[in-house]
Order: sequence, then C-alpha cells, then structure tokens
Amino acid sequence: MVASGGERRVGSPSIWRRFARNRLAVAGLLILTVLALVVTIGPLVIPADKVTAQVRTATFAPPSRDAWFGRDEFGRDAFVRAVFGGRISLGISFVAAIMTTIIGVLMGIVSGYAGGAADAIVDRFVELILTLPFLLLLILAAAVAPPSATSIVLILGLFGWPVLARLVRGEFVALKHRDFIEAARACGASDARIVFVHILPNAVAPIVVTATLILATNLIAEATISFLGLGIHPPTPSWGNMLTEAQRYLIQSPFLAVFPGMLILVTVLCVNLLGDGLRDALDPRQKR
Amino acid sequence: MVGFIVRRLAQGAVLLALLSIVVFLMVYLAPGDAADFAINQRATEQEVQRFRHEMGLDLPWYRQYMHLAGNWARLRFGNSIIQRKPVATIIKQQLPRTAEILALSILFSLLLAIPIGIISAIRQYSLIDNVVTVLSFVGIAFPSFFLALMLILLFAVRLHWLPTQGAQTIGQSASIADHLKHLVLPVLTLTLIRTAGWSRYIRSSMLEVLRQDYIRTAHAKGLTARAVLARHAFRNALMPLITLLGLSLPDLVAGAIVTEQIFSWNGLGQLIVTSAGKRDTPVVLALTLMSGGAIIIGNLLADIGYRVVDPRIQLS
Repeated sequence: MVASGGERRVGSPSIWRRFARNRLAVAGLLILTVLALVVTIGPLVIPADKVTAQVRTATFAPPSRDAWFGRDEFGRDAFVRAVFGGRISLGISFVAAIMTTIIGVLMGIVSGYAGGAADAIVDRFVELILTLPFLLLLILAAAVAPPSATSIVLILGLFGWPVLARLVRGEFVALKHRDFIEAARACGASDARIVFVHILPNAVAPIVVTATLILATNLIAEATISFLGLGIHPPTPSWGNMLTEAQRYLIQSPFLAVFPGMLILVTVLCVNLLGDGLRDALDPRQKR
Repeated sequence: MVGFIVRRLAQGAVLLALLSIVVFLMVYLAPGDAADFAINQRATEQEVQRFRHEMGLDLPWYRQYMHLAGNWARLRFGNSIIQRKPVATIIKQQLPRTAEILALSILFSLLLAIPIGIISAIRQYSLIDNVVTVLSFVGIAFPSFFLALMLILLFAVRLHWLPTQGAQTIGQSASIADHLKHLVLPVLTLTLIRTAGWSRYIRSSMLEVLRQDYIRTAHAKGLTARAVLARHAFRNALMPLITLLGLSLPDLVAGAIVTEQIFSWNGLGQLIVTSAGKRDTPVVLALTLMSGGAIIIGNLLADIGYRVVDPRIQLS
C-alpha cells in the first residue's frame, strides 16, 4: 500500500486502460454523458415556456417529429418536459450525492481518526439513521418538509451518509497506526496533512465506488418521492412526477409512462454499470 | 448467548427511544398540525382551536411527547387524532394486507432466486448465466413504480386479464378467487424486484463457496459433482439468505409503500404516508417504532441465525 500518489491514483493511465476494457462500463459512461449533456444544454436551447405550453388540439398525440415523446393530457410536449424534468432529477441526485459523500467522508474521518468520544457520537448517529428503512425515512421527511428541490437535496444528503462513513472509518482505523503514518508524524506532519495527504488517498477507490452507488440510490429515491407526490410538484416536471400523471392515462397513452420510466431505468442502470467498472478498475482486489 | 441478546435488546430500546424523539420532532416542527386535517375544512378558527385544546395539540412539545411515551410504557399506542380510533385497531386492520403481499413475494422470490443463483454460479459465464446477469442488472435498476406500471400496461390494459386496484372487486361479495386475482400484480411486482437482487447475492455467495478448499477436497475425495454441490456447497452458500430474510422483516411496515400506493392496496405503507401527510403523530410514531423494532429484531435474528448455522461465529 502506498501512502499517496503512485499507481493507484485516480486518472492515471493504467486505471483508465483497465476501465476501458470493461465495455459495459464504458457504454454506461457514454450514455450518461449524453444524457447529462442533453439535460444541461437542452433547457438552455429550448424556451422554458414550452414546458407548460398546452396544445389543446393535440392531447395524447403519439410520438411524432413535432413532439418526440408525444403529448400529454394537456397537449404539452412530453420530450421537452422530460428534458427539463431530467435536469431536475439528475441535478438533485447529483448535488445530493456530492453532499452525502462530503458528509460521509468527514464523519468517517472524525470517527476513524479521532476515535474516542467523537467516534462514539458519530456511531450513535449512524445507528439512529440505520434504525429506519432508508425509504421510510425519506418519505417521512418528505411528507413533513415543504415540497421543493432544496428539501429533497437536504433530505437525501442528510440521511444517505452512514454507509460511506463506516467505510471511511474502517480505512482510517486500519491505516492510522501503520509505520508510514508514524513516520510522517515523526517528520512533523500535522494531523490535517496526515489525514488528507497520507491516509485519505488510500481510500479514494472505495469512496468513488460508493459515491456512484449513492448517486444511483438518489435517482431512484428522488423519482420515488416525486412519484408519491411528496417531492417535486407539477407543473414543474421531474421524471418521477411525470409517471404519476402518466399512471392515470395508461389506456389513452402508454408512451407518457414508458419514456420517463425508461429514462430513470437507463440512467440508474448506467450508473450501476459505471460503478461496477470503476470498482474493477480502481481496486481489482475489492469484490462485491 | 443470552447475555448477548439481552445487551442487544437493551441497546435497541435506547435507539428506539431516541428515534421516537427525532421522528416526533420532525412531525411537530413541520408546518401545520393534525387539527388542520382532522375536522372539516369549513370549521371556524375557534372550532379548530377548541379541537387543538381537546387533543392536547396546544401543549408544549415535550408534554405531548411525554404523553405518548407514557402510553408506550403501558404498551398502548393511544388514539389516532384523524381517525379517532385506537391506533392498535387501525394497525390490526391494515397489517394483514401488507403481510400477505410481502409473505407471498418473499416466498416466490426464494423459490426463484435460489435455483437461479445456484445454476448461474455453477455455470458461470455460460449463456444462462449471462442472461441472468443482464436481467438482474436491469431488475435492480428498475424503479418499482415503473415496473408496476408496465405490468399494469401489459396484464390489465392490453390483455384485460387482471384487476389493478384494491384487494377485491368493489360491489361484489368477497370471494377467494377474486381476491387471488387482485393479489397477482402487487405480488408479482414485489417478487420480481426482490428476485433480481437476491439471485445476485446467492450467485456470488455460491461462487465464493465453490472456491473454498473444502470443496476441492470433496472433489479430490472422488465425490460426484452432484454430491459435492448438494452436501457441501449448497448449505454454505445459503448462509446469506439468513441475512436477507432477517433484513426483510422491517419491510412489513415500509417495504411496499410504493406498490401499495399504485395498486390502492390498503396496507401499512399507505397508512404511514397518509398519516405523515396529515400529521397524525400517534399513528406515525407507532409505525415508526414498529419498523425500527423490526430492524433491530431482524438484525438480531440474522446474527443468531448465523451463529446457529455456523457455530464458529462469535457473537459480540
């Protein structure tokens, strides 16, 4: 195990080559990139009023060149809604995943490196959060919080970190008494330097992999909360709430459910494939 | 062993107490209270205030909490503010609904996932393994509500085979056949999702076992492949099932929230969503404590189960 840098650093050529050999993971990354580009650039190109523009003569129109995903019960363009909804769904999941990762890593460092009382306190929080099923916790919080994108990000971010914190804690406990850490301390390295320069880089691989899993969980969670009517409220579209509305019109127009549903499915699938590929490429010894 | 169980249960009780405070405060601090939902919309401000006073909703939070906690200490859950019935009665009414779809889906998932996982491990990288792998990847990524909608689309909208709402046809006298028909789609949804994950677990656990030395020894002794699998590999590969089953216990409250919602299935999942929305604190807390208790007991059972199956494991 190297203290920092060396072969295992993210982005070094050998890791990329190992990742590239996993064709499914590369496909996942490509599809995700395309999706991310469409939902970020799309809303800049498409005028925002098209999201709610109603064409009353074309309600439930099937997919056509005019409206790629068809039109919904108000004659709104389902493709435009899926693009704007995707920006919200992907945006929330991504921002929340970053927040979760930061909280998880910091909590893991505090309990793993400091130990003692800090460790005990963090562990109580972890146990407390894990005493309820994740989805139930989210639904309870979403049911009582004001419905907004910010609420969902905060809820996902504040409740998602325990698994990551335990993982990071494990790495720190395993490494903090190793010789190279003692050596660094003897050379006069500060705690911050030891934590961030000497120990944390060793944990980058599992952290990155866990972060992708968190992203996938968030995507499903956001869609579920919005589907249940506790998250993003119409007329603002999200992939989840588009399905809520589509549920009522399955007979008239199944397309309205199929497209947003497939987008969620494909995105989550690609994130999972990406995570698998990253795990194999970053740390071949780690097995599920 | 007894000491271990007692210690874990005591820790669990402390966690549940903390959990109840956190969830109570979550509901308490949320905008609005049960009085806004309990009496009809046209009630005057005075009537709402009187109701609030009757129900003790105007008391400071710790007194409201102490009142609830006092009930729990006497093993009572109190009354629902919205439905004005004992919480225990409401739960007793809805629990069987959730229990039946969960029990059936767990049973079918086991029947599917065990053979699928084991066959794809024995024939690793064969055509069948690859097909199973792709399907389970898709299954794991499938949001349950989308799967449910696709099943409705196929079996109800296109084929007209199955009903999609509730536990029996409204306006018909209750019959078992009718109820079974209503069960199919919710159970199928839950079964498919669960099977996707479980068959992966069993596959990787079986692969792990097949790599062990004692399997090689068994082969070297000249046992037939069938005997090695049946007597040596199979039993050990099923160890993770204990965890999976233990972790399924908490699903009794919240495991089918989405499925219940889509199929208008009147179970505990629906109950907790509506109760949280209407700030019906006694119901929310009763269900939360049930769910948390189920997690603690489920984990404990899984640990004990492991110990029973593999006496080398130390409980600490």
